[in-house]
Amino acid sequence: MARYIIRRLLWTVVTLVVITTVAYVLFRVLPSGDPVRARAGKAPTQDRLDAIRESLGLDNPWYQQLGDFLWNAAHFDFGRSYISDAELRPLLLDALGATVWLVVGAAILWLAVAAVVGTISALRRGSIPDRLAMGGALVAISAPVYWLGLVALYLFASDIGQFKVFPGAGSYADASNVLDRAWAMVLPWMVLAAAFSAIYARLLRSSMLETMSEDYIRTARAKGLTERRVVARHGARAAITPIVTALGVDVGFLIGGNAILTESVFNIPGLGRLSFDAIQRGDVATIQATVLFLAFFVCISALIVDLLYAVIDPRVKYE
Amino acid sequence: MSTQDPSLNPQAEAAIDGLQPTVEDPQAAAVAATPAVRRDTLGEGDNILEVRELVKEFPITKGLLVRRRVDAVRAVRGVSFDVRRGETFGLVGESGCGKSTTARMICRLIDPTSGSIAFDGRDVAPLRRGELGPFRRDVQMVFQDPYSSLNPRHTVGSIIGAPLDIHGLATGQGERKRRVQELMDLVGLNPEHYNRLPHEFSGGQRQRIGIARAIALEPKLLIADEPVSALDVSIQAQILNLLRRLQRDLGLSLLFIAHDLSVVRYMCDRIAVMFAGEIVELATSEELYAQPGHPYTRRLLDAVPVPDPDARARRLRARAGASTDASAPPA
Amino acid sequence: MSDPQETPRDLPPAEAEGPTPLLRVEDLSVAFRSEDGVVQAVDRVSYDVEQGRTLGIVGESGSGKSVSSLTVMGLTRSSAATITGRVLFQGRDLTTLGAEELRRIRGNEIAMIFQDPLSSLHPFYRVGDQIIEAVRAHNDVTRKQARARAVEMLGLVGIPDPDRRADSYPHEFSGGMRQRVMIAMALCNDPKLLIADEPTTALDVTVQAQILELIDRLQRELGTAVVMITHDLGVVAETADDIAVMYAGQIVERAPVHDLFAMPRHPYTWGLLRSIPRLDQPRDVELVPVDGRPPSLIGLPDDCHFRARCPYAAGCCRPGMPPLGQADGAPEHWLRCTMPPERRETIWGVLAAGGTPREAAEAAGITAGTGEEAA
Repeated sequence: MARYIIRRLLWTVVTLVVITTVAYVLFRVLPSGDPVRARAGKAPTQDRLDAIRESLGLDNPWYQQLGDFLWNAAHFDFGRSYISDAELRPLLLDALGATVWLVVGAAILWLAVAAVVGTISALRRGSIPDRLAMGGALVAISAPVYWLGLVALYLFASDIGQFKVFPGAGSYADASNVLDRAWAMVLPWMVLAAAFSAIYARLLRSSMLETMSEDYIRTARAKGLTERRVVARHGARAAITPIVTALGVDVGFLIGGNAILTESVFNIPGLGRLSFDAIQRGDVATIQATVLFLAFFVCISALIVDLLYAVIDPRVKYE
Repeated sequence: MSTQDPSLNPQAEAAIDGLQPTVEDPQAAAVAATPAVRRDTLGEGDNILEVRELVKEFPITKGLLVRRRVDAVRAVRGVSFDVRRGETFGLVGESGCGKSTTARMICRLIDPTSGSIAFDGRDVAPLRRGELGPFRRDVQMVFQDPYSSLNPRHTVGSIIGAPLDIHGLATGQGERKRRVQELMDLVGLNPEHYNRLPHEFSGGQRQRIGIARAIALEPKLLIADEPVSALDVSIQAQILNLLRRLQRDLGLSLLFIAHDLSVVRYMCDRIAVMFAGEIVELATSEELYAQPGHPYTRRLLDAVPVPDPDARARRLRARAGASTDASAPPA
Repeated sequence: MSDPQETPRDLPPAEAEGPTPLLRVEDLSVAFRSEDGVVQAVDRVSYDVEQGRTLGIVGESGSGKSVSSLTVMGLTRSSAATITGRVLFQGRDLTTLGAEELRRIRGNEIAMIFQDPLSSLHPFYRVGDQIIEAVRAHNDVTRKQARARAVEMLGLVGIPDPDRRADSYPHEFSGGMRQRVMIAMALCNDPKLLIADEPTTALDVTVQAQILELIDRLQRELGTAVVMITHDLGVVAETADDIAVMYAGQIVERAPVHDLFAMPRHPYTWGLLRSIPRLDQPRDVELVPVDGRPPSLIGLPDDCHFRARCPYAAGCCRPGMPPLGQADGAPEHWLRCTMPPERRETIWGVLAAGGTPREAAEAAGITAGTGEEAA
């Protein structure tokens, strides 16, 4: 097991180096604007440009630049923004904090909803609650996050809403303590979780339906177990495997920056916002760092998923 | 079979899990230690297929970043036999004994680790996939599962006609259709069902489709891997008789692989019994069932349930008598 | 329905001779609603199983042999299923029991093992825990006591080092060992009846022999009655006391094992016997398949289901479903066929000597294709 984890981590490093290199080359090749000119102010002299270029290390050959970047990244030093000259590490960590806060909260919410809805739908297949739930799920999946977010703000936000219940956009950035931050997240959590609740409820429903027709479920009933125990202990345990897979991928992507729509609507300073802004400004150093973050979280969550498999299913063995 | 030691972990079962046969179990160890019984000689007569020392190893790998081979599971460990022209040769054994792996190597679905496969006098084992040429036409296979071996979206006509197209044998739609319907008639399918899909047929009929596809190219050797084990008993006989009739009428050589000893006896002229990747006994059908020479063969035969409440007891008694006679003269 | 005054009705009828059978199935029918129509999976099935005896139920896929047994356990109950008839277990009609009462019987007084022991055991739980769960579903014992029982049972079914192996997962056992685990689990509450649904079909022939021997030994030691469901006539010949042959949802022939193999009386049974290759007969006896295939179970007419495939139908069949009646001169031999006894003997005589159905039909004066014979 330990050997397996080490091997996977080594592969993760290889993957990160490859992804960073590709990203680096892409941003060099594509016309993203010269960061030196962007920083130099209006009508800079050639000397000034050269000085900035040297201070950013951009006068070095490309492979050395890439090497430096990777080397520093390995020490959690991502350098400074090409545009604002701010140190990137605290910037990234703050953004990461906000995103993790958003994504993990939403994930807990959507898992809870999906567990209840999915199980009931599976066990009462074809009933009216099942049809309503699955119809509602389709609506929730089809609704775009930004639209849902705006509607939620319009209805419930404390500043612009019809019913002033929850804090509105931007309240997270202003929150000072943990409670306030959680309160500020209620609307974003619900909006982000809406589509995922629906997806996961459908996933769990179909997985549960498949599991409940397995031979070992028949055995469990033949043993004389109560139906509740058959479902909870024998059905659910096997039915969650695809949920774990999906969860690993989704959480990895969302933390890595894919929660950008929700972050934008609610004005949450997360990783998605950070990378979006960086792309707009051609801030290559920041882009590099966020790409690395995304890749890192996707790789790590894939690893966690694989390890979870071994916990759920004793047949899965890693050497 | 002794009651106190019901051979709890027979080698054959261990082999399923990809393990080397363990020698913990005394009975299995005894089986493995007994030399193979061979009642024919290799390389005599007119052989369509001569298999020599065929070996298949599946590697076990290890390593941090790059995997390297550390060991291997020997699924087939040096198998040699001949299939004579026009005969039905049986490979029988329990799951994990290597019989299917052997069959797959012979028709080159998987590559042998070592050994030779002489088909019609030419060794095809060292040839690469692209070089197989006519061999691909001359050797055809019928599979166990008539449900998964047919593409569900293709009509029966195009399934049976596909080999004709691939080898460019049928020129034009009319010619192809005529030939396919001929084949359907030959295997007992209604030629009018030319445009139906596989799911519209029962299991037995699907196996007929598989057989029609296999004989479309008039192969010299047909390899049937457990062709009836997925079918109901009353349907099994239909397929077995079909294979026997085709073999007789078309002069096919048939390599018949099965786990059911009664079926193999009914079908085959000569039989090789496989155990843990090796042939432990090879004999004609009559000899093998009248006087099994290897303890494993005997064990297999004794285990077959017979549909007669008295027959099994009689058979066991008779054999007990016979074996005391045979063991009477000192070695 | 559950009126206490009505309970005497559920007792076995007073006119039943001899000891009350442990299990009496009476006119059991099971129908499922499906998209294509109503599937009559089991149709008026009746049989008795006496204490300590083995009933073999033989049939092909779709014959209803598994469904009828699952129904005995109450495992086919669903909104799409219609179940009629009675299942009297020790005098109680199981078809009328509530879910909780039925649960108390399942796995406790009636236990079941299945065809594929790998898929029938939960892959994520240790085998010991799965047996402990079965013990504790019916007995108010501590986990420790239940585990002791589990280990005892694993030892009884011949698993070496049972205390250690109880902590293994199903995939860590071989196929035969898994079926032993299933048997240990089924027998852990000392059931009076064990239903074995194709228990050896997925196993190798040498392992099959061991498992059949194990079931036989445990049955003798524990006095359990067994219903052995199989497609293999060889397996029932070696294990069963009585045999019921099923075709298209019905029992077509039922008799003690020696009677059935000495003088099978139903054309379908003849067909089965002549279509399997046998080690105890000369090699050159040609197999005779039963032509055609079993009918669809949707919308079957109330007429002999085998008639369309029967080579001897001409001349003696009466329209309508033949009743399951006693054979002449053999009161324990029941069959669903109206063929006259003389003709039956002539035909079986020819078939038993290796003749083909055509020869047999000719010997009995049936000319194929003419329909009615001159009467």
